[in-house]
Amino acid sequence: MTDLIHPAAAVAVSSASRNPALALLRAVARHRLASVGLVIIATLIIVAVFAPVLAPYSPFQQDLYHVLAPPSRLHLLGTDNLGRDLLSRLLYGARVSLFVGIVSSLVSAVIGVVIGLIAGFRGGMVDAIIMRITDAFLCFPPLIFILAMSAALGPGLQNVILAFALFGWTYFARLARGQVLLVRELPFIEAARSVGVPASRIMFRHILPNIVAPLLVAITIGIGSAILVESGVSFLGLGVQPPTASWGKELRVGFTYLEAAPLFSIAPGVMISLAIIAFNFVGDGLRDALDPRLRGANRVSR
Amino acid sequence: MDHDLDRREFTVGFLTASFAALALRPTAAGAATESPGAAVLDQPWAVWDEDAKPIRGGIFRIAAAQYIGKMNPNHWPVLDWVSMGYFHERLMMNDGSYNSTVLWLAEKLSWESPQEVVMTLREGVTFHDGSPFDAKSVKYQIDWIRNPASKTWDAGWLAQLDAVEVVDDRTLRWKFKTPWAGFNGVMANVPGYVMSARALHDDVDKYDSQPVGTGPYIVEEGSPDNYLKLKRNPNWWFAKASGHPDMPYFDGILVTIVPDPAVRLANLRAGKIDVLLLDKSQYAVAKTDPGLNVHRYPGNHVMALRFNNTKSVFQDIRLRKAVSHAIDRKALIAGTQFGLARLASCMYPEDHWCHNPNLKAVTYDPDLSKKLLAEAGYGGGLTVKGYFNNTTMGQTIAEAVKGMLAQVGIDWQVDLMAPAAYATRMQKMDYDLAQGGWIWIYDPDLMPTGLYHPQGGFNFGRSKNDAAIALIEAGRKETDLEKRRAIYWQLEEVLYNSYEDAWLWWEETATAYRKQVEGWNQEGFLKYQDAWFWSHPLWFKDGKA
Amino acid sequence: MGKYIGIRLAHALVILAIVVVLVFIIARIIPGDAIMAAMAGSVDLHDPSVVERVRHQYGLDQSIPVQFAVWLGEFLRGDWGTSIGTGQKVLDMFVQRLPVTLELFVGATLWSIAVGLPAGILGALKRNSAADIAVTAGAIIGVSLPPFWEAIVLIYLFAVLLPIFPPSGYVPFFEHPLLNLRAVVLPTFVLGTHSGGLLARYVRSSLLEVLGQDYVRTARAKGFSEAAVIARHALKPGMIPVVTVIGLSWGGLLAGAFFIEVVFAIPGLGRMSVDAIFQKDYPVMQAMLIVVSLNVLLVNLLVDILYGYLDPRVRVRG
Repeated sequence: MTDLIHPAAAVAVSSASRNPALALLRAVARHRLASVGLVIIATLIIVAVFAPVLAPYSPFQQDLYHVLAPPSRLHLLGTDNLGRDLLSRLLYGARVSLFVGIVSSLVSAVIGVVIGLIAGFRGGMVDAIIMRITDAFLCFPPLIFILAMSAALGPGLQNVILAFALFGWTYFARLARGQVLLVRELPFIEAARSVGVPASRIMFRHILPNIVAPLLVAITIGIGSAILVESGVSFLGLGVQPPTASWGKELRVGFTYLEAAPLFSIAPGVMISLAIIAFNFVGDGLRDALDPRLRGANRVSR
Repeated sequence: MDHDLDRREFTVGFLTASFAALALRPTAAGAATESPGAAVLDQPWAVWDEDAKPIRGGIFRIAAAQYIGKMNPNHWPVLDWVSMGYFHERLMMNDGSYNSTVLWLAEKLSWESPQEVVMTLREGVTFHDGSPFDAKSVKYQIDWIRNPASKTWDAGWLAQLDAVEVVDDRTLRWKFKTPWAGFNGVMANVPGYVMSARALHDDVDKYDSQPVGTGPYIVEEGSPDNYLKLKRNPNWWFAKASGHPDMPYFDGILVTIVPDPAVRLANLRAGKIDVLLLDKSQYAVAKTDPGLNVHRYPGNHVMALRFNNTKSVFQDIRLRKAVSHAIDRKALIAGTQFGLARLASCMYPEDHWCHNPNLKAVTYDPDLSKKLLAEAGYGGGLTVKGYFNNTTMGQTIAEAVKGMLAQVGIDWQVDLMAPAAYATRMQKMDYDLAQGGWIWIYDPDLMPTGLYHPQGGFNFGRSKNDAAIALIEAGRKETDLEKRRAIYWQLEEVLYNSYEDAWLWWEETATAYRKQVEGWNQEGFLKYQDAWFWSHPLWFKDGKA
Repeated sequence: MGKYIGIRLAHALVILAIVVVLVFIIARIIPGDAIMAAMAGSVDLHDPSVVERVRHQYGLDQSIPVQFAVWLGEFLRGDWGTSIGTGQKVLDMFVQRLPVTLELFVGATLWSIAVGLPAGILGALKRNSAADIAVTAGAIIGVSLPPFWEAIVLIYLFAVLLPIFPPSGYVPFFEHPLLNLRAVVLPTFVLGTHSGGLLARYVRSSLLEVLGQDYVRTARAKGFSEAAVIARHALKPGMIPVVTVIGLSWGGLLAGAFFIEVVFAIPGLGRMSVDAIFQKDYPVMQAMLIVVSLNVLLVNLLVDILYGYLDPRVRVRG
């Protein structure tokens, strides 16, 4: 499977400007879809951070005489199965879903990159073993694996993150290893090594900067995946525990009451979709900016 | 997915508890005495509307949450007992107050002594494979159930049986090791489903997917997890015996498996199925649908919260009182049950023959709760732990109760778990306050034994109320019906006064039929329940769906 | 080439071994007693002799390594065990449900080609135009929408509000072809939009890459019309990665099939797997994980060999 970054692009980025991050950001802003995505993400983050201010009610306030109420002036999106204001639940739910999404992706990235760097640097038997293990993990459809892991670890926020990371690291490991292999063969690196520059120095000065860009793409898209996975896992019954609200949990409960209160199913789904779409737009824009002509060869699979 | 409130849930409690209770019962005198020969047409429920002209025809379509699984009732897993009743019939059935007094395939029971019963079987009944329903067949079946090689899970229910003997073609003599008041109940339960001895004998493994019973329908084809097809039995004994040779009226029944309640309702509204046991949230929507007839009726389940009365803070009755009075039952019913439940005072539902009408539901009095908490030394707050069922309904109830308890200063750290997972915690008494209640309340002894007797299948030492235990044991021995009822009234009072558990509500169910389906009589059903349901088959208007 | 295949094969075998062990571990670490879970419906929980008898029946009273060896041996010989939850033979369950899920896959693939291919080509041809952006946006949206939610919305729209399609259920094709097709329209559409989005992106990018190649420019310079250029030179080579994408996306289709089968009440492998995970039905879970992984392994192996054949550089890079 070709998932290595083309040497030309790697060199191009590393030699581009003093500040590749800024160049990247500029490129993204030019990309229309990505800017839309950024706006959505910014909005969601603001909503999540300011949920206590924005929410008209506490997400825990029950009103058993007005369950599954349709939208009204009192409750803009109606109420849920315990009479709690749906809008408030969704606003607070943004915190959970975004938190889980971002942290899951970051944790996967950290674990994966470390493993990938080790594999790339050591080479030989270590590399071979790590690669086979990675391939083995990748044989499982992600959702199935994560579902089984969730069932094994039990419900709860941290366990969802852990379950995702236990699978997600594979992509990042591949990415990191690929970068190492690429850069290792460049002439000036070989020269540096022969002169005796320590591996860690090479890693920090040459490999990591190159990796930042594709890593960013992968993390961004990873956040989208993680949100999707969290909602899927919650939909099937695992995931965060009540009374915590997460979009996936709301969707699950809402489905039971589809006819009685359709908004209860539709609204959380809209939020989840918006978030995933936004992160994917941005990730896509980043990817385009990084490597405009060689997208076919640069694939960070889901 | 979410298997809310369906057959499996009911089966768990019922079968587990029943087995435990029945298997461990010590002495009991015969509760039922001699029943006069019960010709079908002499029964009070054997009344049909002669103005209605049922028309034969059509396939009746039902949606079930789970596939039936095994179709031999004595093998596990069986996950759909309603469908089971279409092709397997029992020796006895339950009446409108949940007492096992209705003679069905057994025509007469004579109690020669508290340890011996002579049973006369109905004439003219044949199995779907043509073999005759007779004493030899029943004896073969009972012996088969008790044979360890048969791997039946309900063999223990027949533990008190010494032997069953064939007297003649239609007569059996049942001999018990000890007086057995619960005998009728067992005959109205799983071991009482009559199976063709010939089919059992010829190929017992095949029986699991191709059963041979006496019921109004015959199993045609079962596709696991997808559907179950039944076809009309043209030789149904009841059709002849009741003088209605056209029964049953449907040409067949199709049970489709649809796990989600929302999708089931969608199917009903789209006309893809003809009947649906409604999820309570769907009741309001279904009632306003002009194409549906919705019937609401009481169910014999009780929902309660159980206390750990021996090994937790709830040894103090003031704290139990505090919890019970902190719960606004009316609001719970309105919000979580959509109004479809009856306020409970104690264990037995109000239409059960042992219900004590003098007890009133516990009042909602949060101020009293706070006062009691302070008195008991927990004015600053109390933290208790426990578990609850993790279905959507279970979660809703748990969250609502948790909210109510929080209002008086009690923090209930409830874990949502699947029944198999919390079974371990129940056994180890690893909870203070947890899911309680009971389903399928028939014989009055099963529930209190299971919950409050030291040998009960759901006690594990959490409750030890000596007065209650004494009454439970007395109730098993009392043969006189009135005296027995009085004992159970007393029992309810004792449990009520000690706040042994916090009873919340008694069940109500709602079923929706498409308007094309005719023959339902709400009054008759409410009065005779089981007996009415199976003796009054429905039909399609104009003979088609 | 032979050496290359040999190495790939060796890798595949090692991976398979790791997968098998992983599968076994995964199945075992899910907490809860499988027997208790299955028996909760029927047997007195505190009659230890019965529980022990059933445990012995399933071989769960032996030590873990022994269980592993026994299971592996039986599995290879074709005895996939008996499901703890339904009592059926696992192999039978698979055989029963495979065609159902397969039909979903085929339908989804058809949808994704029907939707994704033209979209991708359009996007490549009209690069950076409004149409292109619309295609890219549409593709990303298709990939991002949670399949179970999409399913819920579609059921509500097309089965409840406008009763065009049945809201659930499955009729075998040979029993009633028309009903069968009607029943699978919604489910396959939901599955198809997901992979269709991916396909559109890949078609677009691979076509762009090809269009930028020298020989295409040469063709243009020679005076061929744009249409001819595309048809004769760009389309075919542009399609190679497409074929592999379709093959590789089957793994993602399986995950989507889980939710689709659960929501639409279709008796396929996906629903069986979800139930098995929740009921800790070891035999079913293990068999399912192995089959799925094997499928992915084989597809990957074939793709690697194909690429090795097509692109000699890959053989060297390894």
